[in-house]
Amino acid sequence: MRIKTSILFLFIIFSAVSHLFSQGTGSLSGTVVDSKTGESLFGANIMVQNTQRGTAAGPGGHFKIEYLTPGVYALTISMMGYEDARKDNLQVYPDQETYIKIELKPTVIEQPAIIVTASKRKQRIEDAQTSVDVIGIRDIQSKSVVNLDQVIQYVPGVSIIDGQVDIRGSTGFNWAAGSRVLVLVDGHPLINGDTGGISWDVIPPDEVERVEIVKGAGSALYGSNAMAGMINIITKDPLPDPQTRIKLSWGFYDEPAYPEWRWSDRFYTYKISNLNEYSPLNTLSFESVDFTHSRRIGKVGLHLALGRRTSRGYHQNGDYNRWNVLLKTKIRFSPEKTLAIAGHWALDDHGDVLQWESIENPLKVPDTELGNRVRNEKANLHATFKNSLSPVWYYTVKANIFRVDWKNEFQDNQDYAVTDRYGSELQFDHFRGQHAFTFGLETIFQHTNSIFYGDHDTRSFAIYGEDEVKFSKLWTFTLGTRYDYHQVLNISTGQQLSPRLGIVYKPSKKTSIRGSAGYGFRAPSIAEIFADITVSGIRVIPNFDLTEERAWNFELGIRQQLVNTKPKKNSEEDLLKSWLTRNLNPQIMVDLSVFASRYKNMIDVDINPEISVSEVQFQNLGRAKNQGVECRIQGIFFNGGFSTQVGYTVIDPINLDTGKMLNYRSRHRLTAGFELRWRNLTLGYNYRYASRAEEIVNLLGSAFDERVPMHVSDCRLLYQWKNYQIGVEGKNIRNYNYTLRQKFLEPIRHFVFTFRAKFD
Amino acid sequence: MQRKNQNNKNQTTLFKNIIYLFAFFTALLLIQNFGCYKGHGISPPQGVSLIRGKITFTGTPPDSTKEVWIAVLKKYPSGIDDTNQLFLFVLSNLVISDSIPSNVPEYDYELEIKPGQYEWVLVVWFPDIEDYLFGAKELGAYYFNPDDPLPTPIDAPRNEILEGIDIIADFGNVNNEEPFYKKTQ
Repeated sequence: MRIKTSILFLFIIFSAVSHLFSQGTGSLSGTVVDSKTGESLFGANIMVQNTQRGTAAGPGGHFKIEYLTPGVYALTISMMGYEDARKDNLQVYPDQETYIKIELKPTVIEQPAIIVTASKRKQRIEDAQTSVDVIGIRDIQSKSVVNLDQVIQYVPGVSIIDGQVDIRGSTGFNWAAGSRVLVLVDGHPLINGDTGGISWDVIPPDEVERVEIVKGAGSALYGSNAMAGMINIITKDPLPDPQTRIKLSWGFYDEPAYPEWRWSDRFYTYKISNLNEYSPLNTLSFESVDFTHSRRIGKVGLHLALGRRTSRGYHQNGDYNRWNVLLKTKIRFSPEKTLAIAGHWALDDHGDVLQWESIENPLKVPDTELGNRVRNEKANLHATFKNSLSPVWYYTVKANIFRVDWKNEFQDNQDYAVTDRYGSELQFDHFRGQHAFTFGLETIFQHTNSIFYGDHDTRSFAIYGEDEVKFSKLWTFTLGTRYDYHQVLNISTGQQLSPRLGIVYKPSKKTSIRGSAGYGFRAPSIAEIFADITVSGIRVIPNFDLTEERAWNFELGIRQQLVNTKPKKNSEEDLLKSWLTRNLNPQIMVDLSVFASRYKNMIDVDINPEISVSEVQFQNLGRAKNQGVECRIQGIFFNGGFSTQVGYTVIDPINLDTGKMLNYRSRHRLTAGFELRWRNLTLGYNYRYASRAEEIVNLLGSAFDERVPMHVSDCRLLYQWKNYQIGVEGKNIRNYNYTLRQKFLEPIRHFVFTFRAKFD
Repeated sequence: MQRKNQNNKNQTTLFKNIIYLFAFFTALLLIQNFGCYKGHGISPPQGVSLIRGKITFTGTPPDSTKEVWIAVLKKYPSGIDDTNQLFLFVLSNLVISDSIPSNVPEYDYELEIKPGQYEWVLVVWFPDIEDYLFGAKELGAYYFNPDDPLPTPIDAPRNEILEGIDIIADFGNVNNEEPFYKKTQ
């Protein structure tokens, strides 16, 4: 109640101040359209030069930027799939509206030019001081996935083990407890309050507009968990015109690579050999149904998504049954004053597998685990209110609640945990001359009620500020810090200062050189401190002395675009060049990074030799370091007809106390892929490689070393006809058997058929 | 004019190089994917080894006896007096036997294991309690020379039989405080 009253009070105060600031100002308005078709461009980004103030085009491509001090302005306009445009010498008069029409030329580059995560506000991707990758809507929808992490694992330098994100070797496998990467949904944390893990199933992949992946320390703005990076999932906004979408998918698992691994007579080819018994519905299949409706009623936009996913699984206990509901509303009081409220609910009832039965039967589970299930329910509600106080002052108020309720239905335990996480944040953005200030404060309260964590409350409070200074067109400096105070009630308190320094040098429009140094930290999660549980014979014991881990992160990088300039018409230049530029039309981006991290009190799960080798504990390991190089090349040719991407990362993560490599890290990683588009057909191929993990925690006393390098190949074929799309995708088409954690075989070859329809 | 032609030539060369670069990457990808790695990654272990021996029981089995197993372990624990040591190893179901009879003076066993080296072949006793795995005790292990301080490692050959892995299992050891019997203590 007190929180609600405070937020209401803030709204009233800021609305009043905002009205006062608006006296004697002018505005810029206009329309953004496609230069070829004349179609309005909903969602185009419009930014006021030097002030970095901006807005997004609404329905009909209309936009309006109010409360501008009279004077001369320049606008830059950008949108994914279009070349950037610039409008200079726009005169704004007191109490008048200046109207302009903007035409954007289509391009084949699909990387969004504007990002919002790296600095907690809109900025161009080449202005970011750390490496940023963006997964666009096309990449998400071209792959049939159940959870979004299955798309993110294609990003160079990023890997996922059992839902846990590892950026450039920052994380190994911690049994889903704790995350060194902060995952956000529309800027709100999606970190479970108890385990500190990530609930990927809360967000249906098809409802995501784009995903921004920031590599490097982000604690200076985001605090705990962001010590190795952030992943911000931007969900789709309600559409201006009514639209309904349906997606149906069905797939099945192929035979295991070795006949002796069959554990069920429901494998596809097994049934084929007995045609009389064969039924597609009787195989080890999986299916999903998604329904989405989006519309706007007056100023209120509504976006509703319902989904259900079921699977029989490719191994024993591998089945799941999931439901999803997403409701997002966005009220656009004015182009700069918006209120977005989103609610997500997910129910997941799945079989649980800790380890396989044996290497002779890796798709079976031990009898002691047969029938083990986990049922969890998650509810996430968040609200974001944005407004401006004046042409140079903005503020954002955020509030969020995230509940995770899960229960084990195991043979040997019926444990449960219910955790509520309440967060609120007030952020200001101020633009003054060449300075862009971002500062704010954030509070988080968590309450956990669990049979094996006990009842615990945690509180944290933070204040942060960062200044970005553009000394010239060439140089941009960023300096910021954040102070965090966090408390585990009746147990411990801690505080942390996380500074960050960044430099961006742009010697040309196509070249961006960046450097950053940042200090990050992560407070241990409730599970890491209090977990007291025995699962399938492994006992996890609490560690009340566990303290926060800290790390310095450094990065140097260069981003170079090689964009072809089209030749003049009727040019008599070299014929080959002419053909190349007109037809091949190569557009290439190269990004090279050198990075290093130094950890202190790194938290990792380990056997505790002082207690027992069959008991494990989360411990502060001591000092560790990690360094490496990452290279990414992205190319688009034939006017978008062919695109390809190659990313390679090499790391050297070392525990400085033992001299050994950190657990569950692959020294080499490679991702590569291409997409070929011809008329209505799209053919895609992706490949992922990770070298064998050199060190693991031998928790389960395995007599068999199952570690192998990872080679996974996927391919897909899509056909688009008007508002309908059908697709078939083969995943792990080489049927390669590998593990990412001990005694758990990752998905074998499977095929997915998808049908999408859109009704306007 | 000559300079302009030179520029055009340079640009053409640049584009050619770009094409070659991506052709190289694509070829690398295809070669890597379809040529360089063979097989399917993890595969079932090929072949087995058979070990045989005689277990000689001494003492009387306690009334609290639930089961007795033979366990074959890769590593012998080093320097850790651990109440749950045995339990960790019995989790690895590749190297344990089914329950064997314990109320007999002698028992000839035969156990199929994965070929390779093992440091510890032992007989494990479990009490008849709820958490019986936590009450595991060693009754005895394989010693080639009874005076050796540590159990004798074995090397189980592929598709062959290794005989003479005899063990003396003493039920008196169930009263030991430590879960496994160490001659050095």
